[in-house]
Formats: sequence, structure tokens, C-alpha cells
Amino acid sequence: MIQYSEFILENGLKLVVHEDFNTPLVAVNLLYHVGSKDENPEKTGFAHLFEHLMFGGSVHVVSFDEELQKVGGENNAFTNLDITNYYIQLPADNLETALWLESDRMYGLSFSQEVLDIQKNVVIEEFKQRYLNQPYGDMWLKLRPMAYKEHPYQWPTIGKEISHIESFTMDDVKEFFYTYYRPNNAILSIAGNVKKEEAFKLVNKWFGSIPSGPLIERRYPSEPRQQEARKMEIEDNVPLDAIFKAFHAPGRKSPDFHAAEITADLLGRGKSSRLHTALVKKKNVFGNILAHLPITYDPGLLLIQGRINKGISKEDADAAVREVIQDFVLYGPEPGELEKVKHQAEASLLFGGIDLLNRAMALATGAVLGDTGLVNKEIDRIASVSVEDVMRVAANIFDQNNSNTLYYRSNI
Amino acid sequence: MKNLFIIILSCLVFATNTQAQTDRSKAPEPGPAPTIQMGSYQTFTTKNGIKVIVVENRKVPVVSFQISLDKDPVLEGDKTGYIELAGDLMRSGTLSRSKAQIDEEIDFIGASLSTFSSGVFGSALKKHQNKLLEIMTDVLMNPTFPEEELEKSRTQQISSLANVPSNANAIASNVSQKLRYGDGHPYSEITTEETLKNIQREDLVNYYNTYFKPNIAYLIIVGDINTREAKKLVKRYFGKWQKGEVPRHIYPKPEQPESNRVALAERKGAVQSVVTVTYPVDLQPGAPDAIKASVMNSILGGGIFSGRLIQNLREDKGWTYGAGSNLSTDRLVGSWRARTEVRNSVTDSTVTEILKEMQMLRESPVNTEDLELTKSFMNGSFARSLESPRVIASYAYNVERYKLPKDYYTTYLEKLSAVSVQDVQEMANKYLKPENAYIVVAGNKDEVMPTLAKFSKTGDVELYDAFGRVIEQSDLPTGLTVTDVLEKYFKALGGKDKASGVEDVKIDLTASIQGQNLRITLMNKAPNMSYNEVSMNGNPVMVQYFDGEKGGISQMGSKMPVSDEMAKDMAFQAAVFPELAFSDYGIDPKLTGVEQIGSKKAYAIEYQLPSGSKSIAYYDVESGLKLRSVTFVNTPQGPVEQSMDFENYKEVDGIKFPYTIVQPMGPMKLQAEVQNISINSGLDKASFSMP
Repeated sequence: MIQYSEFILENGLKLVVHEDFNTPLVAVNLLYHVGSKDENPEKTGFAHLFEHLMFGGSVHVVSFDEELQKVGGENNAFTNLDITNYYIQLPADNLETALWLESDRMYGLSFSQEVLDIQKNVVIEEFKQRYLNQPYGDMWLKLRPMAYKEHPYQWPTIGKEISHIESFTMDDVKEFFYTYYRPNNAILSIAGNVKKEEAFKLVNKWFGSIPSGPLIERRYPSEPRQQEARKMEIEDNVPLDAIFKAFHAPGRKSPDFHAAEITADLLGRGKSSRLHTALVKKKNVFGNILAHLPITYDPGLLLIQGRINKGISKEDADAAVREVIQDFVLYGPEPGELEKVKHQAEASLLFGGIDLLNRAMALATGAVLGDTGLVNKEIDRIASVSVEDVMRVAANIFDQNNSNTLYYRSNI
Repeated sequence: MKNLFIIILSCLVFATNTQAQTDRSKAPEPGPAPTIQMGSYQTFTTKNGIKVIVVENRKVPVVSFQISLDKDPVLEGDKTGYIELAGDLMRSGTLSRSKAQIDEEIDFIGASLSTFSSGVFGSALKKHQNKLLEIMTDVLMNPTFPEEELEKSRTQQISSLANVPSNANAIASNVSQKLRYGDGHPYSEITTEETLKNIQREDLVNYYNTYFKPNIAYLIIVGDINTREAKKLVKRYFGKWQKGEVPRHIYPKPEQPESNRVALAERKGAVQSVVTVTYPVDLQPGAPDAIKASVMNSILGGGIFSGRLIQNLREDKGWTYGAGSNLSTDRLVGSWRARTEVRNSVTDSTVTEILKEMQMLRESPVNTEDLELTKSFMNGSFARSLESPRVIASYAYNVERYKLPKDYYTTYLEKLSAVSVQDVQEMANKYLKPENAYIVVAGNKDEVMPTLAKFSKTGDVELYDAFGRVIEQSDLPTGLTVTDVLEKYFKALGGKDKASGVEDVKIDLTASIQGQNLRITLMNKAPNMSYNEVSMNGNPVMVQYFDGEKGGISQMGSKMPVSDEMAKDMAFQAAVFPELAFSDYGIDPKLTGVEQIGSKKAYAIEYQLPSGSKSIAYYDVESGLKLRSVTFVNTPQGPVEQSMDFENYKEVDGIKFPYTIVQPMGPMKLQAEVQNISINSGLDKASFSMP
């Protein structure tokens, strides 16, 4: 159980504090509610590039990292489809330094053209390193536009293409900043050795005077129900033939999310899962195969991915996967099987809770979804998922017409 | 839970009051340096010799157990990979459980269990710890290494090795490993499909029987457990593990290269190069230099964004997404490496910058501010790391295993803060070797290879495959044929027509050897007559001729027999330009590669003489001219190499001839200089016979 208190500043910044006096540290997590789904389809990859710019100096701070290092802190950030998240860990005595640094870059950036130019290059190298120079690295670049035709999840966080990244200007930067990087679009969570009153006082001191931004209307086109199976085959410099199958599935806000997550776990988490047992151990069709449901706020994609053993055709491999799925949809999980997956989920939650930063992030994520204490309800919600829930949700997900299949054919 | 949910909206009033007083231009006053509360640990040794370390941490109801064997690395040779397989397969079946049962039982309690060549790790919720220990110790003490599981693992490993050639990081790491430690060292061994195929079940069983012994084992227990309970559990579950004698192994220390060596491994179609600069270092865990040297390395390439390498390559130039360096200590041999991934076009510039940063740290003292910044970064990392009970456990393990002073980690911050500017420079000079490094690049060969030669003292770029095996170099341009090389040769001489128009040629040369003056006369007449004479002080010492049908040799006045085989070769070699006679003698020349001849690169054309002896001619890649010809003459003692170098080409009647011919004679060289060449002077047929 993670205990917490919530505060809202006048400018709309939401603060969540979790006290833990068993550690000499604090974790500071600042979540901005903007992700790649908020981008202009003609200028994608900007939310992520922007994350890089946040380290390029602010009005009163030349080097964020240096100032933090001086007081024994470390930090990093990530961007995904839904949010951009910045986090710091440091000795509790120096909490104020973290707040000074975070508030200064919310107050105003350096808006340096040189920083923009260099970070564009850095992000282009990141694009190459992670998406182009890795076998199967372009998988999301292919699958997203195949699966989504309306909703902005149709491009990955890095962006659709390098030319988009090249095209960003300083005007784009300023507009984005004054729209999304405002206190009313952010959630700050602090976990660790600090009293909640003290945390609030300091947060108010450093963030209280930053003006609010415009009210952000979030209206993303909803993705219509997919009506036909979609397929794509690409030949590439990959070691083995591989298959990636993505099915539209409930997002984090849906009451069926946990049943969908459990469905993915039953099929493809661990060596005793359905797919691994049938297709790796028994039939030797795949070298490895797994299934998981990446967390997205809006309806997401349940992904099954496997590397096909040499000598097996992609059609046979695909048919073997479909057979396992059909069997699962028809007969559902064994009660013991469901219990196993619930034990695994419980262990993950408890092991994850050891880390201070994980607790801070979980609270911020809950808050942005409208229920700060969400993390505390998860064990119960997972426990309450029934065989019937799994069967109903699985039948809905594993409709052939809801599938997007990507084959990689190795040319080496 | 309801009462936890406090939303204080009343504070809004409070919020407006304080704003004006905030001065953002000044950093808040930092708190005092944190005092380190090093989590404590307990140790005890069991009757069968297991050294147990217990780190109690009751924050969360989880517990983990790790068996770690303290043994010397083992050489695997042509069975490389069997030790790792032995570790993997311990989890694949015991006397009482099949692999599927183990997977099922472990997954059911949401636990994790992994086996390695040097130990076993398991973790679970506290409430499942007994079940975990039951399975874990079964795997530890009763593995059966089923033959069919070996086959499955072998197949899987072979198919996952297929990933390597398309993974530039894996390639770079294989090549680095191979170069850094050298053949014959256990750290340099790389698993390949071939070595996997050599492995047999009994190799695994022997390894397990030899090394999985409690008397060389540490058991590290972390989590919601106290020492008393730990003692009970260990006795109950690990008490039956049988002791045994374990062999030791000693290896020579790998050395740094005498000068920089450049290695390239191709990753086809790469848009980025993985650039590594690396070498072995002699640095023991806990050595007096260890902390000072790690500060030095951290300034260069540590931290997340503060190191000089990432500042230079990413924040200043925008060439890469990440860059850093790593200095690792090890009981056998440590290593240093810098690594980054950059776009192809800046690959060589990146190497230059890395070497420059290494050199700068050697030559110029760091400024105090940078040093303090790095120290506070390391200080912070250390303090934060103590949050994790697993880290505490690993520190405890290091103290025990490496026999470090008990207060090594509690006094770490003191030692860190004592590191001075001078220390850093001294460490840089000791551990940064910009002139004794392996420069390893995995990437697009065509685009980056030519730019890398400048970093190697010899100008060589060594080629390796994805598994660190040397590739014999043959950088022949694709599509180039023998005909192309020969056409270029004749064009360089003055044209094929000119060459075919030479009916006869007489060349007079002089040379001196051991103070004696030699005169040499070489005559050829189309289609296949030749006469060569060497005379010393006016007396012929060697004569060799071929008159179109038969040949003869005379040395110091006595005639030597000419076999039929020799006669065939003499006929071919009598052509004015043997290259024009290939087809007449049914010779099929092959273009075999590019080789270094002196300072020049040359295409090698290999062919068989009519007798079957091998001959190779080398043609300058740039000028096209023939630089050397080598014949391997078959003798009863085996093939003997006869070689001639051609230099100093000059034009005679529109066609070029070498004016200097050099022939190695044992340890000496015979250098002959042309005095006169006459072409188409109407040499008499009668001249081509024994005088």
C-alpha cells in the first residue's frame, strides 16, 4: 500500500507526496501530459525531440545535469505515446535543488537555436540507432500505421520519418512549450524522506508563480473497429524470419484492461505460457515467442512476437499461432493457469514497489488517469479477474478481422 | 484507504503569498553531505563450506537467494560455449522434475529461477520461499542434463547466433573481446556454431561435477529474512550438498598492443558505426588505484551526460545518441573501453576525437570544478546505490571474495573526496593509452574502411568477421578480372600492339655482388627463344638457353641436365612478354587478391606453369606495371621460391622496360642495373644456343 497526499496549486499544478522516512533520498517525478499522440501528423516526433531540448538550458540554469550532480542527484526522462516524464533522485536534504531546476525549465527555456540544431542531430542518430540499425527495429514504424487509420497512435514516439525531425523550427518549440509545458498540464510527485507539508511549501515556493497555460482540449479521433485482417511482408537484413501480430485491445482507462493484460500473460509470459509451451517446447516452430500488452491510455495493441525457426514457412508459423489462440478463445484458461498468472502479476507489483522512483511514477500515472491511488487497487483488480472475464475479452481481441500481421523475411 | 485521500484546496490562499520572494538565479543552498548509512550484513559458514551473506531488508515481503561459485575461468577451446550450456541446462531437468515441471512450478508461485555456469539465482515472495528453495536446491544438486534438452538448447543457441551478424553491437563486442585478451585466454573465447556442434553431454556433466561444490560457494540471501531464520533454511535445504576438490587455473596476462591496431568488422547496410577503443589493463578489484582511476574514467566517459566524450560527441557535435567509457577491474585482467555509435560519415572523426580526449586528460590537469563535479556525481551515485539491498549484498560479496578491508565501502566516500587533480592526471597517464589501443569499428565496410587506415601505425586495417575471426584480406574491386589487370599492364607499358610488335630484345645489365662485378645478358626472340648469360670478370658463370625446341643450362662451365618438365617451362618463359603467351600454353591465370609489395599495393595474378609449378605476378594497382614475379620451383626438397622485383621503368622505342631488377639471393639482394636495351635488332637464331 502506497500512502499519499495530494495538493493542487493555484496555477493548476497537481502535487502528490508519498512520505517514506526509511530512506535518505527523495524521488521527484514530473509528468507532462503530452505525448506523441498530441502531435501534428505532418510533424511527428516532436514531443520526444522536445524532451531533449528540456536539457539544453533554461532561463537561470545553464546545465541542468551539472547543477544536479553537484548535490548528488541523477535524472533522466522518457517520452511515450501519451506522456513525457522527467525524474530525479537525490538526497532528501537537497530536494529544493531539484525543485529549483524543474521549476526553472517550466518557467522558461533557453530557446537556443544551437541547442535545437544539435539535438535534432542527436535525435536523428537515435532514430538510426534504435529504429534503423537494429534488426526488427522498424517494427513499430510498420505496425502502427497498419493498425491505426484514425487515432494518432499510428506513428511511434520517435516520429514517422527523419525528415519530420529535420523540419522543426524555433517557432514550433515555443508554441509547444507554452501550450503543453504549463503547470496546469503537469503532475509533480515526490516520494521519500520529506514531510508532506514541507514538500508542499517548497513546491509552492518554486512553482507557484509560473503562469497557467491554455486549457487543453483532448479530442483524439477514436479508431473505428477494424473490419479486415491486415498483413504486410518485408524482406530485410534480419537474422531470422519473424512474425509480429498486433490486435486492438483495451487501454489503461478501460475496465477490461486487467483482463486483457492477463490474457496476454496467459498466452505469452514466461516459459510455461501457452505459446511458448506449444510452439517452442512441443512443436519447435519458433525459437522464442511472447505476448504482451504495452500500456497505453487509449485503446492499444496486444502484441505477439516470435522468431520463426529455420525451415518453417511463415504461413505454417502463423497458422500454428492462430491454432493456439483459437484453442484459448474456445476453452479459456484452466483455473490453475489463471492463478499462476495472478501470482506473477502480484510478484511484479511487489518487487516493483521496492524502488522509490517506481512509487513516485505510479502515483503520477494514476493521477493523470484520474485516480492517484490506482496502484493500490491493482492487486485487488487483478485478483478479481475471472475465467469468464478472460474469455469474453479474449474473444473480442482475437477476432481475425482485428489482426495486423507483419512478417520479416530474412535476406541473409 | 479513504482516509489517506486528502486533497487540500485551502492552501491556494497560501500559494499566492510567497511567489514574489523566489530568486531563481541562485541555486538553493545544498544540504550537508549525506552521512552514509551502509546497510549491515551478517556472514556465517556452513559445515559443508558455503560462505553465507545475509542482508536483511524488511521493506517489502520478498526474498532472494543467490549461489555464486568463486572459481577460476576455464578454457573451452573448440568447445567454447559448453560451460554456459552447462549453466543453462541445470534448470532443464532433475532426478525428480522435468523441465516443464520446473517452469510450471516456478511460474505458479510467481518466482524467478535462473541458473548460470557460476551459480543459481532465485527470488520469490516471502510466502513462497520454501517452495522456491525446494526447487532451487533440486536444480543445484540433482541436475540430469537431458540429452534432448541439450539438443534443443544447442539448436536455439545456433539460431540466436544468427542474430550476431546483423547486430553491430554484438559484432563490436566480439571483436573487441578477441583482440583485448588474445588467443589462449579464457576471456577471448567466443561461441560459434562450430564450437557448439562439438559439445557433448558429458562435457556438461564433467563441468558440473568438477565445479559445483559448496566449498567454493557463496550464498547471498537478501530480503525479508533474519540471520537466525537464514541459518535454519540453509541447513535444511543446502546441508546435503557434497564437498569436493576443485582445480585452479592460471593464465598469462594479456598485454596492450605496441602501437594502435585498427580492426573492422562488417555489418552490412549499416547506417551507423559502432566505434570502440579498447585494451586490457592490469587493475585488481580494491587496488590502491581503483578509486582514483574510476574518478579519472568518470571525467572522461562516465556519468549520464557529464562525461567529456558525450559532451563532445553528442552535446557539442550531435554525432551520436550516446557515448561513454568504462574501466573495469578484474582479478585476471581488467579492461578499458570507450564506445559510441555514430553515423558512417563521421566514423573516423569520432576516433580522432576519442583519442584526442584521452590525450588531453593525460596532458592537461583537470580543473578543480570538473573534478569536484565528478566526485559529487560519484558520491551521489554511491549514496543512491545503497538504497538497493541487492547492491549492499554485492558490496558485501566483494569484500568477502576479494578479501578487501572490512571498511572498504564505509570509507569509500573519504577515499573519493581525497582524489586530487594530480591523482587524476597520474591515473590518466597510467590507464589511458591512446597509442596502445585496439580501435574496433563495426559498420559499413565500403564507406568507413578507407578512412580508418590512418589510425594504424602500419596502415593496415585488419578485417574480422562477426565472431572475431580474422578475415584474409582481399580488397579486390568487385567485377575486376585478370584481363582488366593485364590490359592495364600493357597500356602502362606503351600498348599491347607495341608489345606484340617486339620480335627480339637484348638487355645488358651490370650488378655487383660481394665486390665482384657481374655482367648479365638477357636475350629473347619470338616466339620462344631465350638466352641468359651471367659472367663474372669476363668469364661466363651461368648460361641458360632455349632454342625453340630444346634447352640447356651450364653453371661454372659444367652442363646441367634439363628435364622435360623444365623444358616446357623454359619454352613458355622464353616469350618476350609471357603474359601474351598464356593462351598458347593453355594457362589459366587467376586474380587472387591485392597485396602489399614494398610501399605499393598490387594485384596478384596466380597461374600454373606447364610443369605444374606455381607462379605469381604482381601488378601495381596504381601504375599498372609489373612489380614482382615469383615462381615456386618444385625440387625434391619441396617448392623453392624464386623472386624478381622490377623497378625504375623507362621507355625504349615507345615501350617501357624495368631498368632495375632485384633478385633476393638468400639473405642478400642482387641488384642489376640495365646498361643498354636494343629492340628488334635482328638477333640471329644461332645466338640462342650454348656458346
